[in-house]
Amino acid sequence: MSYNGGVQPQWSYWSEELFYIRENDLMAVPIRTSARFYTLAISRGLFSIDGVSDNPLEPAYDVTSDGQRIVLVRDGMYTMEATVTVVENLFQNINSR
Amino acid sequence: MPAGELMTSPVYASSGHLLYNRTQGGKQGIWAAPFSTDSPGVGSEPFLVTEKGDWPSVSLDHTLVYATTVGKQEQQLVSLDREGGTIGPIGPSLSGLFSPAVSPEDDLIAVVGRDEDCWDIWMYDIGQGSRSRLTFDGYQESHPSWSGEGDRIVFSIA
Repeated sequence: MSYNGGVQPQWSYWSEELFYIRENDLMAVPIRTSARFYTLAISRGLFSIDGVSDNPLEPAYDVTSDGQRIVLVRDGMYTMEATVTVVENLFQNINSR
Repeated sequence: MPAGELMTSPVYASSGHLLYNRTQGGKQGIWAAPFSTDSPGVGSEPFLVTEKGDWPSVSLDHTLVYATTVGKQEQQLVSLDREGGTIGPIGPSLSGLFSPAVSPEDDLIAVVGRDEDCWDIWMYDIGQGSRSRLTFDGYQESHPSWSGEGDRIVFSIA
């Protein structure tokens, strides 16, 4: 079904397509499941999803039932929380060691 | 210096110590070692001052100040069309989001998210842009999936 790799396969309920990630692209392939499973055409790339996780165990997207919208997890804001600590009479403690 | 060890942010303290940040095996802390400008080189064995912290600074009256930083990467659910165009963000961001599952009615998303080092199933309402937490236990939930009628969610627990 997929060529040159494929991870994170997802069904779309009504559009009779299977989606998957190949390298940095979201791919789609039309399928039929009646009587027997077969593909109607070779898969094609929909768009680049560069930067999105392709971890096969942690899917990063799903597809709506009609296959027209893709819900994707994207990296958002990276925040740093800083705490400043003050230690008085430090060397009294050190000298006692 | 042993392999895999990193020492940064050295500062000299008037008590005759050198304080520095030391990272070893993924752990970091502030260490101190006796130090003299008359005979450069660390004297006796260094010792740990604090297990956390970075960028030490010592005043003349021997008050130590240091910073502790914690980074957090948040993720955002977004809705795209088939050409990759962004339709819009969905709800507030959360750290550790993965495995989104759209409901059969296309109105809800069950997804794994992390809050306070706890992996749980969260529910996002696409229309309202709101979210609610579905699981609260100490287990690590993952891979939510909807039933065909959209009235049940199954997920894994580890």
